Amino acid sequence: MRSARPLGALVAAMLAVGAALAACSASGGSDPNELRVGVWGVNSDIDSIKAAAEPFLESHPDITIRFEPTDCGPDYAACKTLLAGQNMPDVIVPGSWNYFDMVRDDILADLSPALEAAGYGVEDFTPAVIDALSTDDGQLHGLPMGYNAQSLFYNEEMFAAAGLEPPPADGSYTWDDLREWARQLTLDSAGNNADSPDFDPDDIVQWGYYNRFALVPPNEPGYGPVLASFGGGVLAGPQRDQCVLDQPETIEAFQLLQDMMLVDHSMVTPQMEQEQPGYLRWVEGQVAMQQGSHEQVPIAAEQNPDLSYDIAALPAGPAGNATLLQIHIWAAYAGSDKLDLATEFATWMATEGSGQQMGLIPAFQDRAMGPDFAEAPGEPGNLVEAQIEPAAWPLTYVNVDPSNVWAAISGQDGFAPALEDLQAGRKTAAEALSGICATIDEIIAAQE
Amino acid sequence: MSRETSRRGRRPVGALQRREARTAYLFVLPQVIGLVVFIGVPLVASLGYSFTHWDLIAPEPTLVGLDNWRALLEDPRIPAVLWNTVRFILLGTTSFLLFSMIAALVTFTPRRFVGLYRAVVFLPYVLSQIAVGVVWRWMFNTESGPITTALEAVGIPSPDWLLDPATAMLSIAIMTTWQGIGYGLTLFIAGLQGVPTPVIEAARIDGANAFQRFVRITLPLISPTVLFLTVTSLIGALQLFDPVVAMTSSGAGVAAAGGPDNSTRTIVLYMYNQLFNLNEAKSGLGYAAAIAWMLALLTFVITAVQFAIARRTVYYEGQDAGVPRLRRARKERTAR
Repeated sequence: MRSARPLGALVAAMLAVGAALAACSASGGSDPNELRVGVWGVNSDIDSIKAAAEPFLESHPDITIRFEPTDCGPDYAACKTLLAGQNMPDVIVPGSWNYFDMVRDDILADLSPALEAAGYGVEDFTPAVIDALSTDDGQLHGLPMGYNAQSLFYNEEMFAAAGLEPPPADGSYTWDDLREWARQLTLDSAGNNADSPDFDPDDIVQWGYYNRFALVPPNEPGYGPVLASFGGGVLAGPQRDQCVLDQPETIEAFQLLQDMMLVDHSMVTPQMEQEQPGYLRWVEGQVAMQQGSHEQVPIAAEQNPDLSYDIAALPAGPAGNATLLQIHIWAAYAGSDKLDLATEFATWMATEGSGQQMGLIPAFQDRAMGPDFAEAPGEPGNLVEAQIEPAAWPLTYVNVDPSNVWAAISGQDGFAPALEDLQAGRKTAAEALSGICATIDEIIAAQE
Repeated sequence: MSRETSRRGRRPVGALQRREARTAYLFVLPQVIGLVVFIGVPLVASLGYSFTHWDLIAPEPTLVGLDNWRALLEDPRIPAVLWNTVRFILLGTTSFLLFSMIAALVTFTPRRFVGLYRAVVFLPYVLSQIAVGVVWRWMFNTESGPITTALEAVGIPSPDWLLDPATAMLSIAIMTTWQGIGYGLTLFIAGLQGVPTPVIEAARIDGANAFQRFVRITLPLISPTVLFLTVTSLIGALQLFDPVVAMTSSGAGVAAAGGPDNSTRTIVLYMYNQLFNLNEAKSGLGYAAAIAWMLALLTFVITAVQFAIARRTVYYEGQDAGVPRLRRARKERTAR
């Protein structure tokens, strides 16, 4: 019994510590005048958001904003840990790739009333962008901060050296044209291009083309626009639940990319990508053309200011021209205890405060055409044709498939092994994708 | 002895003991608090979560009884990811132990620069597994990696390493072995330093060759080190995660790791996928906790088996129980 007494004291101490910890975690009283805003990106991205928010703060002198760098926005997993810990910021910046994950889970407030109260409507935004964020019942659980569009970035000097005309800025050329240029722009150390019988594919010093084929950030595959312009894709249908990976159009598009990599040797392979990212190879002048978004502009300006380049809209496939838009979104956490302020701020940032945030194309009114984007210093000459006008193409799409669904479909349970076979040249596109939709359908059926 | 005397005799001693006990409890209290708060509570909580469903979005977990555990038994991916983990144990843990021991035997005898050699071999152990994994991903690059280049330079066709399901896990095992050798070497050298030189010398005089001396004397005497490294490396192997993500995700995140063709998806990676990446009916903290507990139980069983085997094969100096061979040798000496 005597020895039980200290043990009892120990247990009591444990309980006290536990209770204290529980009390600490439960006491979440926050400053009613402080808005917590979750932000992400590189320092210049965060600085651009802070600068854009300044006028809002000036008009709300009683409010302070705490900007909290967090991965909750680009990565839904980070949001889940914040939600479980009851520590969500009042305002967050999700991406189009996980926006509908959050909408499905009811964690984003409907901003439609706040938008209306501010005197604006959906007609004030780029149609393809705002349409992508609207739910079936017309609600908007987020408003666009801005968007990225995939375009063709090309090295003007390399084109001139190969005796080629620059790609038409409006995308009036085809993937066959691009493939031919890529071969002519791919050089070995002896100066032979990929069309030459003396060309040595083991000694390439300049590649024709780079597509973010393997290095797939969430839901933003480089092959996406190629598939779309051929009339194929990964998922289709109004509910985005129909697999079209085994359709002839998809197979044809994938085969084009495999042939450019492994037959023509004109495209940077995923293996080369491991050694050095393809977009950096383009910035350094090792690659003549790359498919990328506007984020390449500041990278090129910073890392190779002498690079002579311009951009063009992506080429047409058998189905037409297509590109992929990726949206960064202002959203208010539905569980915020300052929901009115949070929705007001999110709406203001997407409207009055829009422009020059995270280097994106503003989707509000015609700000993209002014000094916030098209007329900003240092921008490529063909910016409007290559980055803004393609948003109106019928085949242009936004990566709105929820990231959890996409992770399962594009991961090891889904079509990743088929893609690996394709990239490694073990199988043709037709062989690799044969029967793949049965697997994808099972995954879709297993979704909660 | 009278009652008074007894009280007088015992009381001062009892008070002292109590004071000492109190002091001792105070000394261990911080450690116990840390243990309870950071290990005990999460352990019990995770067991509790394994009987719930929680996607981390809902305000509270929902009690589902044994559903997660039943799902675990019916999940067709579990045998595959367990087999991948076992393959890593067979490749990675075995090679780690073997090459660590060889490295220790080679560098045990003091020679010039042996200290420098040991330091160089130990260096990778202090590096981040993610950083090392990224470097080795390039090492195994089939187009420009130095391993492929070196093999092809001497006319040996290079495997596809991380691109081939047959060799991907082997590639990861090579990386983890390379990184871990320094740690194993250090412990093996410490063990070897405990082997009495006169015993080795006596065996040499008796005509035992190097192999016999190693198998019959050195190995039994360093068997506690072998046991320790086997147990800890096996536990580490069961938790394999970082190298797989670094070497197989191609920059596409944890959701895409585990390839090619699922050949490197381990049980811990699958647990992470079920917690954060997948959106199936069972996905969430509850099912991930059930997987974690299955792994913990598996680890416990494997460790228990190792200790059971060790009881008959590991020799602790000063203990009567030891290696049967030693026991037999001792009996033979006694008989002579």
